[in-house]
Amino acid sequence: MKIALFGATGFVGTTLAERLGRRADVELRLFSRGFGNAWRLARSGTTLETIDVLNPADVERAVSGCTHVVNCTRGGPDVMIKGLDILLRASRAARVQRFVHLSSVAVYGESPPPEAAHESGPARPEPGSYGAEKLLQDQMVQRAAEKGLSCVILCPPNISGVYSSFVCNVLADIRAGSFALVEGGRLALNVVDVENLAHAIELALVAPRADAQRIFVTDGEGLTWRDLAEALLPLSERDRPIDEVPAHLFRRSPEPPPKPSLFRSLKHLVSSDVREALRRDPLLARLDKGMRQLVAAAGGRIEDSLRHAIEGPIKVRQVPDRTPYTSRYNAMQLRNVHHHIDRARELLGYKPVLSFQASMARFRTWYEVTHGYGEDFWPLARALETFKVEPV
Amino acid sequence: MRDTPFRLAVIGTGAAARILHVPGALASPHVTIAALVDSVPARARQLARNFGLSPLIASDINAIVGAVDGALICTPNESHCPIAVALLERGIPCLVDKPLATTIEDGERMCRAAESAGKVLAVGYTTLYRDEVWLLKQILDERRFGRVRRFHFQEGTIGGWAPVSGYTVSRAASGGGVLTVVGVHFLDRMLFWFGYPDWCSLVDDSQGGPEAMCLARVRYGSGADAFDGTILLSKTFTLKPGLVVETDQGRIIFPIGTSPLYFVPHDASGFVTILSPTERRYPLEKTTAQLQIENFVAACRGLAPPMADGRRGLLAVRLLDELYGRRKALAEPWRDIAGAAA
Repeated sequence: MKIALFGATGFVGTTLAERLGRRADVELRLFSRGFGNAWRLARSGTTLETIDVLNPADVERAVSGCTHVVNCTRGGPDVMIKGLDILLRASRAARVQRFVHLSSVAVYGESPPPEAAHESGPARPEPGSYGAEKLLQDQMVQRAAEKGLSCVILCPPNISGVYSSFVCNVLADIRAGSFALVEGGRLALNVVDVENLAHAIELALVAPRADAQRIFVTDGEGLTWRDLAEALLPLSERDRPIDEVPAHLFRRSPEPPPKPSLFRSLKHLVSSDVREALRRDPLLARLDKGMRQLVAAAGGRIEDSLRHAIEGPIKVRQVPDRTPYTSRYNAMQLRNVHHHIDRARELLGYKPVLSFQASMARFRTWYEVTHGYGEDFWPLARALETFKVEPV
Repeated sequence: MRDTPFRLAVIGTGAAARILHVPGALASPHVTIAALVDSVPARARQLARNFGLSPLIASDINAIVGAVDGALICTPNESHCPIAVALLERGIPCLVDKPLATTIEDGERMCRAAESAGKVLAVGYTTLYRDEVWLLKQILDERRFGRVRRFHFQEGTIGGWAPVSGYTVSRAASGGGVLTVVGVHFLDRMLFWFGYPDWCSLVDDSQGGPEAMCLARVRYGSGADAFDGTILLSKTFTLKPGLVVETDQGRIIFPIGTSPLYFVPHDASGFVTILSPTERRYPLEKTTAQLQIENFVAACRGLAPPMADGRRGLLAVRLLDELYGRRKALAEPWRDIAGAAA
C-alpha cells in the first residue's frame, strides 16, 4: 500500500504518520504546505515534502503511483474547497484505490437536533461557519464517489489525546475558573483520542465497503462533560469544585443579520466612518471638506438634523456585568447529542484502541512530563501563566 | 549618523529577509539596500519586486565586493560561517542572524576572520533592543529586590516560523532544534544577565532529528548565593512566554513582547509594581530589526560598539554545545500505546 498523506504536519496527520511509519507494509509520502508545523515529525528525522495543494500539476505528481490518499489538510477556504477539488481530481486520475477524508461533527451545527445521534441526521451548519465548509467538502467527496472514486468520510468530534490543544484549553479554562459544568455536567461529550482516530483512518484505508457517507468516530458513547472535567481534576490545582451552572446562561438567540437595503447602504457611504477613510485621498478630502463647510454654513439645526438622518440617534452600548464563565466550552456543552459509532463498528470494524480513561491517563502523563507539572520550577511557570494585570 | 546612506547587502532572501530585515532596513533613513544575494536569484528578484527595489541581484557574494558597505546574513545557520568568512576576508563587515554558527570551530573561524580583517562581526539578537532587558540587568546587578533565588523561562508555540528552506527542522542545517532556533535568544540574554552558568543539563525529545521540546537546567554560584534556572521550550504545545526571576523580596515577571517588567512582592499585598525605564534608548516606534541594523551601521562607522559582537555570539554557541553535549533523552511513556490501552 503506497499512501499519500496530505496535511501530514497537523495534529491528526502527524499521529497517523507516526503510526503508518511503523508499518512494514506501507510506503508513505508525507505532504504539507510548509515546514512551520513539522517539528513533531522532524524530531524523528521523518522526510516531509512541501506542496501547494492549489497547484494541480504538483498534486498530480504527488498522487501519481499512490494507491491510497488521506486528506487531513486544513486551511482557508481556498485550501478547503479548491484544494480538495484538486486532490479529488488527481486521485481519480491516478485511479487510487481509496480516498479517506476527514469531516467534522461541526456539519451538524452548533445546536444539532437529536437525530444527529446518527450520521443520517440533518446536517444544518450555521451559514459561513467551519461546519458549513466541512459540509461542502463532504458533498464534493460524495460527488467524486459517484464518479467512481472509492471514498470514506470519517467524522470526528473534538480530538483529545497527547498534544491535544482541545484538552489543554479545557484544562486552562478549568484552572482559570472560566469553565463551568452546564446542567451539572451531565450533558453529552463527544471526543475521540487522536490515536483512535488515526486507527480508524487505517481501517478506512482497507475497509471492504466505502459508501462515501459520514462515519462517526469517537471514544464511545455515554461520556459526559463531567467525565472530562473529572479526568482533568488531578491537574487542575483547584481548591474548590468546578462551578455548576444552568444551561440558559449560554443559550443565545443570534441577532438576525440586517436585510440588504439601498437606503441603508447609501447612509453608510456618507457615514463618518466611511468619510474618514475616504479623506485619506487628497481629492476626496477636499470634496469632503467643502461639503462639511456647506453643511456648517446652513446652521447648527440643519447640521444636527442631517447627522441624525445619517447616523441615527446616539447609541450607547450596554456594559454587561462581568461573568467568570467565559470559556467557549460552556456553550459547546449544549450540543448534548451522543454521536453513535455503530457505522464505524459495522463498516470499519472500529474498536477504540484507547478507552476514554486510558486516553486521559495518557494525556495527564504527557502533560506532567512535558509541562513540568510537579517539578521544582512549576510554581514559577504557573506564576507566569496566571499573571495578568488589569489594563488601566 | 552620517548623511550618506549605508549600502547594505542582504544575503539570503527567504522569510527572515522578507518579514524582518528588509522592512527593518527600509525603515531606516541611514540605510539603502544595495544588493540582494540568494542562491536562487529569482527569489531575490521577487523580493526586490515586492518592495519596489532595484538593487544588485546576485547569486555569488563576489559580485557585491565594492558595491556594499556591509552585509546582513540571514541564510540557514550552517552557511553562516563560510559566507561570513568569505565576506570578511573581502573586507565586508557582517551582521549575522542568530546563532553565530552551528559549531564552536565555525564561530572561532568567523571571529578570527573579523579580527584579522579589522572588520565588524555582529550577531543578530534582536531581543536585546528593548530597554527592559537593560533595566532588568540593572535591577539584578544592584540587587534591588535582594538576591536571585531562581528563575524560569518558557516559550512554546505549536509550529510557527516557517523559513523557505525549512532549515529550522533540519538538525544539520540549523545546528539543533528548538533550543537553537528559539532558545538561543534567551540563552544570549541569560548570559548577559547572569553570566556563564557553572553547570547545565538538557533533556529533550529528539529521536535523531531536531528536538521539538526541551528542558534546560542551569546553576550559578555556590553557597548562599547559588541559584538555579530552568528553560522550557516547545514547538509542539503552547506555553505563555516569559521569564520569572524569584528574588529574596518577590518575583520579577518579564513577559515577552513590548510589556514592561513587573515586580510581585512575596507579601501578597495585592499590588504589583510596574518597572519601566525613565528614558528609552530604543524607541518603541522602531522595530527591533531596524534598531539592530542601525546599531550595525553605527558599529561599521566606528560610532558605537556592536550590540552583540562575534565573541559574545560565540559564548552562546559554546553554551549550546555544552547543553547538547550533556543531553539526555526525554522519557515518553505515553508512546507505548499497547501499555496505555492495557
